[in-house]
This record gives sequence, C-alpha cells and structure tokens, in this order.
Amino acid sequence: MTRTVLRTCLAAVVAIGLIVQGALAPAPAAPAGTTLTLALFADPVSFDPHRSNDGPSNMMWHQLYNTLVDRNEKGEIVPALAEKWQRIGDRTWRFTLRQGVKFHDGSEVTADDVKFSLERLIDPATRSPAAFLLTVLDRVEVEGRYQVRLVLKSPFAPLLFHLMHKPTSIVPAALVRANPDEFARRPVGTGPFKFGSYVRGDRIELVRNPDYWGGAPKFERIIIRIVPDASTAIAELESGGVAGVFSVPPHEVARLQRNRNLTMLVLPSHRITALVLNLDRPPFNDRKVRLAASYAIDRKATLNSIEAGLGVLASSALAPLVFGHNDELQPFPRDLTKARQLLAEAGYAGGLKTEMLVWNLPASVKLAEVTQAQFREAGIEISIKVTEFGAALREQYAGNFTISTMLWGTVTLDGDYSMYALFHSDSIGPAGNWGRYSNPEVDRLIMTGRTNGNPVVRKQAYLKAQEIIANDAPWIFLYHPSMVYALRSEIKDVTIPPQGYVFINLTKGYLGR
Amino acid sequence: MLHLTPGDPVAIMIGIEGMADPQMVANLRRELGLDQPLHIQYWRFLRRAVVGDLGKSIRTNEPVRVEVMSRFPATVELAVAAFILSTLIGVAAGVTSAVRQYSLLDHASMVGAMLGASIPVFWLGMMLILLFAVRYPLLPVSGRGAPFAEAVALLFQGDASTLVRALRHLILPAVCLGLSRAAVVARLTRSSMLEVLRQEYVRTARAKGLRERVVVYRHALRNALIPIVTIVGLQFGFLLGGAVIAEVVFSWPGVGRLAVDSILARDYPVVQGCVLLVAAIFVLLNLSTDLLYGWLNPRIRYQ
Repeated sequence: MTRTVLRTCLAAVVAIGLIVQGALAPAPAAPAGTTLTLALFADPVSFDPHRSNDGPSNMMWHQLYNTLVDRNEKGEIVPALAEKWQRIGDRTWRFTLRQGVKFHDGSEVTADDVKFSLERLIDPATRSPAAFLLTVLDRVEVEGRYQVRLVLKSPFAPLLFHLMHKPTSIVPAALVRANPDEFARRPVGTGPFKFGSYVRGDRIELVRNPDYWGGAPKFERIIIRIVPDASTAIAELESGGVAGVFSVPPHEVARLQRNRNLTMLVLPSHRITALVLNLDRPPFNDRKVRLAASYAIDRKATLNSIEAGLGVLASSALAPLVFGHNDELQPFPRDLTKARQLLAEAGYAGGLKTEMLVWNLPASVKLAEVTQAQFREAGIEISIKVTEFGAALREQYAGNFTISTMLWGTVTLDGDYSMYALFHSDSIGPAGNWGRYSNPEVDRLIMTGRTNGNPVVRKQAYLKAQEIIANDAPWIFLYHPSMVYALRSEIKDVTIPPQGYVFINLTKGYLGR
Repeated sequence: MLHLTPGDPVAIMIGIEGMADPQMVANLRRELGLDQPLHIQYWRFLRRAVVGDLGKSIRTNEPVRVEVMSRFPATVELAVAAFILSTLIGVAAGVTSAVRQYSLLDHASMVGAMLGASIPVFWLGMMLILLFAVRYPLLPVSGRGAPFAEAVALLFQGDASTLVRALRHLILPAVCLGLSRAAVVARLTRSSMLEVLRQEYVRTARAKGLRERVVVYRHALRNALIPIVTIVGLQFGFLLGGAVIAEVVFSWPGVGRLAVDSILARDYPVVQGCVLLVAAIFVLLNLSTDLLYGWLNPRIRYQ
C-alpha cells in the first residue's frame, strides 16, 4: 500500500518537475524589448471616456484617446488634437484642430467629433460621473471642418486645465452613435496605442499605433495585468513578472529602494490630507477652538506614521505644484500650551468631547486614530465613527458632523478646482464645502481667479485667499502625500507627470539594459 | 441583505465630485430602478431571472450573465485543480494514518493536517509566492496563464507551451487552496477508516487470507467513503463558489473576486448573479453526492 502511495507521489513530482522545466526553457512570448507589462490594482470601469471617472479607466483613456490640449512634463499647456486656441470673448473660445489626425479605424478627426464628444460628456443621459469638469459649457458650435467654438455659460479662466482632463477625450461620433455599448467594448481613439483585448479581472492588451500623430511609440505591445493585492504586485515586480506597479505601500519604499533592479519614483502630488471642521456647529464654530485643534496636531508625526514620512506638510489645500499655491504660509507647529490656553479662552478649560466622522478606508481610519491620540494630549477627546464611504458622504453633504477626515486632489493642477469647490460659499453642501465655510472676501477672490484671463491677477487672488483661509482655519491642513510608484530599472524614458500614474507617458519608453 | 448595509451605489459610482449635482443623482437612481421599494426591485429581478435575464451591471453596464459567466471558467479550473489535489493528498494521508495508527507517519500527517487547517490562506499564499516565485523563481507569481480549454485545444494542434504555461500558473493557487482542504479530508478519512477497520467483516476478509492492500482499499476504504464523499462534495461546492482570498492573492480572475468587487461597489445585480450561480452549484452538487452514495454502497437504493 505504502508503495502505491510512494509511486503516486513520485509520478506527481516528476510531472511537476516537467512543468517547472518548461519554465526554464525559452518563453515563446513576443520578442524581448517590445512588450511592456504593468500591474494595475483594479479593473478599469469603462473604456468609454464618458462612462466613469476612476483612476484605472483614466489611465487607459490616456493611452487610447487624445484631448484637445495636453500638458508637458513642465506642466505647461501644449497642443494635442487642437493645434491652436484663442479666447475670443468673455465666454467664448475658439479651437483649431490639427488636420489629418486619424482615429484607429482610419476615419479623420473633425469638428463634428469634438462637438459630439464634449456635449456627450455633459449630457445628463450619458450619466458621466465626470460631467462636473465642463458644467460651465453651454454648447459647442462647428465653425468649419477643423474649427469649433466653445460657448460657456459664464466666464471661466481655467478652461484649458479642464480640457486636458481625460474624460474630455475626443471619440469618433459615428461609431459611438451607432452602438455605444459595442464602442465601450472595442474602443477606438486617436491615442498612441490601440485597443487589443481585455479579459476582465486578468489583463488588458494594447497595441502600438504606428500612425500616431505624435510619433509612433517604441513599445509594440502594452500588457496591463490586474493585480488587486499590493503585496502580490510587489512580488511580481521583484521577480520581473511585471515592470511597473502603481500601488506601492509607503512602508515598503525603504526596502525596495535597496533593490538595484528597481527604480522607485517618489513624486510630489496634488493631493491633500486634512480634517474638515463644521463651522455651523459647536464647538468648531468658534475660531479659537479651531486654532486650538490645529495647534494640537503633530503633522510630522502623522505623516510619518501614515505615509512613512513621504510627503510635505501642508498649510493650504493647494499642494506646491498646483497653480496658485502660496509658499509664504507656514504649517502650524505643534504647541500644546497654546492649544490648552485657546481652549480655556473658548470656555473649554475642562476639555472638549466630540465625534469624528471617518470614511471606512484603511488610510482614513488610521488617520483618525493618530489624530485621536494627539488630540487627547491637548484635552480634546474624540470618538471615531467609521462610516461606509457613500453613507459618510451623505452626512457630510448635509453637514451632520463636527469634524471629519478628508482626502482630496486638485486633479486639474489649477487652484480654481479646489478653491471654488472647497471654500466658495456657493459650494456649501455636496459640491465640496462640507464645513460650510463662508467669507465674502474669499468668495470675491475665488471668483476673480475663476473669471480673470490674466494669470498674474489670478495668482495674486489665490495667494490672498489662502492667507485669509489660513487665518480663519476652517480646515486642519495636514500634509500633501507623495505619489509612490516602482518601475523595473530596465525601463527607460517612461515618464509620470505631476497628475499621477493615470497620465503615464509610454510613447517614448523602451526596454534597455 | 446587501441593500440593508449602508452605502449607495450611485455615490460610489460617481464619486465625491459627481454627487454635486442632485438632479443627476436623482435621474441615475430612477434609471437604475433604485428609487423603487425593495420588494418591487426584488419582484422585477425574479420576473427577469426566470427567463434568464439577470439585468445589467450598475458599474460597467455589461449584462450580468456575461460578467459572471466570463469569470466562471477560471473558477472551475482552480476549483477542480484544488479539489483533485486536496482529495488525493487528503485521502492518501488519511488512509495511511489509519492503517498505521500511532506510527510516526500517523503523527506527522495529523500534525500536518492541523497546520493545514489552521494556517490562513492569504499567509500561505504569500509564503508560497515568496518561496517559489521570488526567492526561487520556479513558478509565476500570479495571474492566469491561459484558459485551460483553449490550452488543451492548442495542445491538439501541437502547441504544448500554452498548456504548460496554464499549468504553471495553476500550481501555486491550487496548492494554496488544496492544502487547507486536504487537511479536513485527511482527518475525516482517518477517523472514518479507523471505524471501518475495526469491523467484523474486515477481520473476516483478513482471515480469508486476502492481501492487505485488497482489504484496505476494496473492503475498508469503499465503506469508509460515504462521509468522505459528503464532505468532499460540499468542499467542491465551496471551491466553486469562489475562493475569494486565494483569488485576490494570486490575481486569479474568478467569480469570488467578482463578487467581492461587486459588493464593495454595491453593484446589486452582479452580486445577485453570483449568489444565484453559487446556489445552483450547491444544489447540483448535493444531488450528485446523493446519487454517488448508491454507487459506492449498493445497500443505499433510490426508489
């Protein structure tokens, strides 16, 4: 009997050995140096740029489509599908299209496609979660085969910053009209890569577009593997199974930096991690209490424990790389004596008790716990109420909280995006001003930034507005976390701009040694 | 149940920025049928489900049937591999332990079974990856090589490499899942065998001068199989329902991961689709287990 078992085991071992051996034989994959494999932490929700607004989808659109304008590595606005543009009135812009640009199916990009795409994005029937990017757009008028006029509802200076955002990508009108569902399955754009295949939950394959108007990419093929677990993705990277990972846990960075096969990218981001205070309710309707809470926080310690120190301390919602950032403002230092004194002046000499509304994301919960410990030392007792994301948002819109965690990004890299949504009194409620902050002077400055065509005037307005906000202290600004990505060292000339991995540029990249 | 957990598919779908427009939120809710009371939503689901229409995913707008069935082959592959592995290892270890009760082999396999049953799958998975894919790069870290059916078809066209690739991707997740299941099977086989080996007819068989192997396999094991088959059948159902953790750790594109992703996104139609599939599998498997009894033990007859 034992002999049979042994024999079976032996057979199994031999079989496994044969399979493993297959591994060591040369792989029959595509020729080396022409395929790039990257790992993404989630499936894109849709390949149709007007159907979702998640990170993985945006990254795919960036490869498949083009927008009217783009940004270069320095952050300057550069032509893309639009060759030139002009603001021809308070509320009117004219865009002249690059001629001869072809969609992947061979048809030419015309003004009709631009009109169709932009109006489709804001049409309520499309249900795009990114329609907010162009709520200011009234209509698009076709002025010629290669010329369109964008008519806005109100003057809007940062329009170009919004038009480089991926949900404003230009799609072929005829194809989408004919069968939008089929289009979402087999997308057709003008981008550097064409859609190859997609196995949900497993992989996406993109193929080089040899006729790309911006110059054909060097990679023959891009494979994006869906690897939901961050540790598995790192193991894939270390073993060479994938060449890039965009979900690197900050605490892994120090270890991975010692690996010579890897290049770690720790880049400044446009994001802000903060605590929002409700100015409509006690205790934070009192500025002294708000300041006390701000003095109670050790920002450096928080950054260290949550992001492994990767980031910069914040004094405003706008990160240093965002247009309009005020670099004169200093982050609050920790000063427990001052915090206690301010609390006493506000009538909370015996301490203060309140509740913190927290999203059920691991990062938010950890932030809440660190804050709780720091507050306690200043005499502020908070209980943590962890709430599912959607439900928490509803509470925040309605103002049903006293203090809450906040993770936000200025995705357009222009001050207006965050200043208007977070601090203008028109945005009180769902739009983003959950703490119900309202200051007429700040409102006026934000509107100047939103409507004035002169960048110098705009910048001045934002600098002043941030100064006033810092003084009113409606938020506790904590830090701007870094973006952390890891690539294999053999990848050359692949660049990631300040907007993040979503905008990864693969057109010039190649595999070196 | 999922409807009772707080959370709003619309909020998750359109995010912080999108929720800014209450009109759009209301439109979306109406279109998705989420503005109706729960019993009406359920009635609509039932009415469509009987004709095979499971609706469309809230998140991706794809038909639920397509979403679920595109993931099912991957799950079947992994389940079958883990099932074969766990049954082979489990029954072999269990029989050996029972025949050599209190021997070193018995203790070793029972300690192994104890460990197998108590090691968390995600930890075992990570350890297997670190050992066999990173430290000693023998096998791929994660992912699915190629659909098995496709690989077999290619084999008949003379291309064995695709099948080899598919098998290599299958090994680690199957071992990871199979080991924990094998532990349960081994313990059950041992106790069931011990009971049978003490019976009179086994002594008779031995007294007849039959060889030990015939006694153990033909006389004892076959009679000990009934409880084992029951558990193994249930386990197979469990594996087919999607081994969520192993699927996440090994980036295996199966039904379990789809279900979890859909629950997190409050994508009700897809969750319903997954649950329906798993329930149907359990019913079918229980039926076939019951039918197997009759073949294993002719004393059991179905009228």
